[in-house]
Amino acid sequence: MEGGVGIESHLFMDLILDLLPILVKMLVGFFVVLTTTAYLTLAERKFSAYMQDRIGPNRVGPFGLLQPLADGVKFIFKEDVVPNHVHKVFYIAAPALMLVPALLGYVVIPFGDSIELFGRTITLQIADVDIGILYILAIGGLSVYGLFMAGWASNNKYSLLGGLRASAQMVSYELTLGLSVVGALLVYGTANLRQIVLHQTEYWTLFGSIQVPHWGIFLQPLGFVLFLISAFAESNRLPFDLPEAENELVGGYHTEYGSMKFAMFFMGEYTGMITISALTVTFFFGGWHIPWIEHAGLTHNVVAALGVLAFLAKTACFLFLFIWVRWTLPRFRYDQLMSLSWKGVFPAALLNVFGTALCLYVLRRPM
Amino acid sequence: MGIELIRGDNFMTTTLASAVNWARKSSMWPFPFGTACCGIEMMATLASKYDMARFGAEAVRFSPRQADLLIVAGTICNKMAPVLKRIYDQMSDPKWVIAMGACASCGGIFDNYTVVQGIDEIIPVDMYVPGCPPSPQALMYGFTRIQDMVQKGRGQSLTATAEAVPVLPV
Amino acid sequence: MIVRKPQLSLTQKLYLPEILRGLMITMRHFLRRKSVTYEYPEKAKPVPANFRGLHRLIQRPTGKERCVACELCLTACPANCISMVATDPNDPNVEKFPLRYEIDTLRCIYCGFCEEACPCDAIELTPHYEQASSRREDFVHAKSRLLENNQFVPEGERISRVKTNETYLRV
Repeated sequence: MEGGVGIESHLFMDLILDLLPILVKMLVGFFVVLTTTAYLTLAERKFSAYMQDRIGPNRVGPFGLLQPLADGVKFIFKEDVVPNHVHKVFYIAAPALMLVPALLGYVVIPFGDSIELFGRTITLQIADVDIGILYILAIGGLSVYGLFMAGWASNNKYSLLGGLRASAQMVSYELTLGLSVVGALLVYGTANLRQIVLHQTEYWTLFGSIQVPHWGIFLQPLGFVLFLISAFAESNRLPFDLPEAENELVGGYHTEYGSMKFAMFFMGEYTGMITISALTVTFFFGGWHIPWIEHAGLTHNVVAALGVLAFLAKTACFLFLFIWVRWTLPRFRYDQLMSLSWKGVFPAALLNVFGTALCLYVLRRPM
Repeated sequence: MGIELIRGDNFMTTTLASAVNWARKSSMWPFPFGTACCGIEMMATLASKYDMARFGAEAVRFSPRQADLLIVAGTICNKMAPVLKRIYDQMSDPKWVIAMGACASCGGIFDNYTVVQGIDEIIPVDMYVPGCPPSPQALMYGFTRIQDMVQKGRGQSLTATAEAVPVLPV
Repeated sequence: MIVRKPQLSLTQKLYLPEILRGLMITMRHFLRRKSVTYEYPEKAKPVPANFRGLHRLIQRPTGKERCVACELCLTACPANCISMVATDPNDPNVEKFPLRYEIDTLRCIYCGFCEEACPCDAIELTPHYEQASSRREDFVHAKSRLLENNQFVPEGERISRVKTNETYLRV
């Protein structure tokens, strides 16, 4: 009997050792994403100020670094109003439905290579799912429920219009978002995000000596542009922020929301931005891969650590692009948005898929 | 809510209250109620040259439920009064009100049957900013006064702070 | 007037080159980092020379106000924010003077008609603008406070907005 207990405790230890890294990764990931979300709001305010020759928040802490804290505390201690005329269940559920999918998205994104720790190999990814792309698209598709549920439950004409716009826009652009990555999927031959990044760590050799990494941007330039446009529309950022167009719809779908519920919509938007930036990096910019670092002669763990930093830096570049575009471009008109989707991006994405398939057929044909 | 009601000798609650007040004053998101020329000066206050963003107050919310500070900038006529009252009621506590300019404060030159003689006839006002219209810096002075008030935990929407009205000197 | 639809070139129709041009403009401002902001509470923007702010009553050398209670400012005021009670000072040199002189600076629109109307150059608008308050009583400036407002203008200096007619300045 004693031996049996020993085996059981051994299994238990194994279970703990297997679960512990996952839990640590989840907690760290959660912390990093939420902190980035908070400071992204400050970055948005500071960068917009610089672009407009202003100074931006600078009264709380050095360079206004405590501004997100002040905003958060203010929101928490503000009166939480549930108006009388709303559908209470949906009204309260909507912000959560917006924030949770945004937070779930980053789970399958590989943020680094594997590291060797205490004789164990730990992959720097929370869940290595074989259908990572499908998971992301499915989770991203859920966030539209939050939007139109908020719009409908608020029982307010501006909210309803915002919700309608949100659902139409997100359904249209989800299609183009999905189609624009199909080309990349054909090239990589897998839907596993880790495998996609590993595929991008290989090199072409040009002119005998120059090595060019297999990054998706070189393989799918048109796919990248279409993906980026759809990503802007999916995350409801300017120039496609029609669901919350301030000067037409007051606040759009979140008009009737105040205090922490509104803050959750706010966080959902920014978290969605982070997820979609990370996804762009994973698909088209080699994820954690730093080109030519294999020749530097560093140990595996150091390369992996540098890779994480590279991944964060690349994602930050795309987050900056989101902010940059927002403070440059005016909003599209609604018909322009729809015609861009159905007459511009959608046919181009289809063309991209067929073109890629044709190229692959010609190149990979058995001779 | 409720924090500001807990006063007294308890170190913890008073410290928490001051921390919350600090957050509230550092992140006052205004609701712009610009009905006249004062609205233009208010926009100038938010724009590059004066930049109210430095106080963390540039996040203009057009939905009253998300705003902390109602800036009434401009003439409020009798037809507009119910709208203003409703906007004020829709704002969630704690909230503060700036009456910007002569018209919002007391009717200004429009002492007639169509204009509300000061928005304090319908909603409580925390800060009057005189001028016609006040210069952006005058509005910012009023805003910093409101911030001081918030830090001290005062404001008509929080607690009634009836102060003795001084006898006017002749 | 007939507004024709502008003929867009191919690059304009493609959006993206034009968007890139726009992005370059914002990037230029972002990198230049030359803010035009006046950091108000610390470094205020200097007020222009003819800025019309809070009122003051100019004093005679004796310390009394120069006003002779002619009520011209009161008549000229479009906002009716000035009120006055005139009386006889029992002084052979002064015929009339204001017993009470009040300006409701909240109702005042700072048009400057009062200083233009004043025959004695007794009232003037100083460049002072920091006067927000949470109580309406703070804005009713009685005579004593209007005399105190002389602190907002350097000693002996006049605001030369209104052309001074020296013949009226007997004292």
